[in-house]
Amino acid sequence: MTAQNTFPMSTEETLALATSLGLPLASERAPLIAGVLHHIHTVIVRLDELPIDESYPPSFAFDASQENKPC
Amino acid sequence: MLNPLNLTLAQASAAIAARELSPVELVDAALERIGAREPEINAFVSVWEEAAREQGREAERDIHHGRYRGPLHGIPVALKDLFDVAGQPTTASSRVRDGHRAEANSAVTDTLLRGGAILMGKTHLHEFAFGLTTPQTRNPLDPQRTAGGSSGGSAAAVAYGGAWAAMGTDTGGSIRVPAALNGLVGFKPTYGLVSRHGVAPLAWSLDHAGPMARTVEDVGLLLQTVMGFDARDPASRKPPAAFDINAQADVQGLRVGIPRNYYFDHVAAPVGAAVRRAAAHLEQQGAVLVEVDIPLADYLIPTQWGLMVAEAASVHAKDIRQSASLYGDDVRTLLEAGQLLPAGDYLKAQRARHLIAQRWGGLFSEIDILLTPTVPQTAARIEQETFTWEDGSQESVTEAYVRLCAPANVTGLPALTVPFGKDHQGLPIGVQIMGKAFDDAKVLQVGRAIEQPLFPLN
Repeated sequence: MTAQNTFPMSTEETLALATSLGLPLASERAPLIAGVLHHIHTVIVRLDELPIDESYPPSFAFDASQENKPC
Repeated sequence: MLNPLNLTLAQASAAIAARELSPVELVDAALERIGAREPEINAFVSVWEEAAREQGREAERDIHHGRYRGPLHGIPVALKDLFDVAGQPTTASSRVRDGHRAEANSAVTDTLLRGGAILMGKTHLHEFAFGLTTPQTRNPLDPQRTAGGSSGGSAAAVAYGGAWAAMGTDTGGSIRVPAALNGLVGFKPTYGLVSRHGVAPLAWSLDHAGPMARTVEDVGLLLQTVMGFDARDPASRKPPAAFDINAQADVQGLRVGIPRNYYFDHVAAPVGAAVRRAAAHLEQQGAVLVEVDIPLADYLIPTQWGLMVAEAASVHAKDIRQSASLYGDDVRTLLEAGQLLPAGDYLKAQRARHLIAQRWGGLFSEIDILLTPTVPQTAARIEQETFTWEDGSQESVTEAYVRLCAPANVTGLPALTVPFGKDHQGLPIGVQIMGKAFDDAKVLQVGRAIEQPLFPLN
């Protein structure tokens, strides 16, 4: 199960995912969390439009001076 | 006789160095303001009255005996309650931190104390710095309006005269937003310039520590004290050798980027007009205005969210599982949702940041600085949840306040807000100046050329 659905997860899916990750989540909060997660994921998924290939690795050791160089 | 409250930090510092003003007088003046305004504004988590008075007397004695330590000696400053001070709680304005007590000073605390600054106390923030409004604190310019956040207490304290400067942190605008809404100068330096050792994190790769004060010169004096390499912070970088923060402003020939896109979209008319007046002001002084396209503008906020939510969720992974009910509703919801965010979303944002930083590097090969609004609208009313733009669209107050600040966090570039005029309601407008990585001194110089500080205090 992942959060990468087009629609928010159901209450049951949200609770199952939370349980699998060791997150205690009251059932009445599940719809709220599912909605917020869906909103965040929907915003981030726009990044799929970018031309990111193998030459753009993650920047775990971010360095503003090194990475702000023209391509 | 000097009224200390009418002095900038730099002026007070000069008067102290000349022995025309005692640090004791400054502390007394700050405490008087705290006593008068704090019941309504609630900027401080804790005020260290007795310790501040003792520090004031000690500074007075040291200076009298020729042991002057520099421009912050005897100056009252405040710390956002994310910075550790040995023996004191670091509350992060959260019940989750009940019982916490710092064992050692943060790097910033140490540098301030070495410089002789007087710590007035700790200031409120939006819980764990995860928000842009600091709801428990009011704006001293209009207590029915937000002080902004997350460093809202720091801004409010300086704005009403409870301190001459304060330290804040900035993960998506948390120094610049409250500075702009309170008519102050706030500076998010280049990522890595100021150590975050001993500062409770929100999101490691976006967090910055930086100064807030009434003028650019004051901010520069504070920055000069707290910046520098610190091996205890993995992000720390050595600043360039020549780093004259308070050099006189000279903008002759400076290439000033004026965005064609993004930064003037959904911006209140008085705010946009103020930025254009600031640009014209720079042009009159010899700067060259260059219209530019902001690269990858549609992907800045998605990248900010992907980094911030995932990193904050990781920071709070243990506490949100053990003590969720102790968090405020808004922060709890974001942290719980963040626990469920796929790792792929975080990696996507990391890789997008790489591309964005490169393209922004290209942008800054054409210009020296970028001039923009700091926030699209002035201080919202306390109960206000959204802004309505001219085209009828609505945007949450939080999303609006983060929108124009976040790019400097994603790229790590230095970004300064300076007060420049007021809107029709008399509320201050902030103009943002961004620069190249480690070109912080130039950003401050340009800020000095256009700032319009608010005096007297409210």
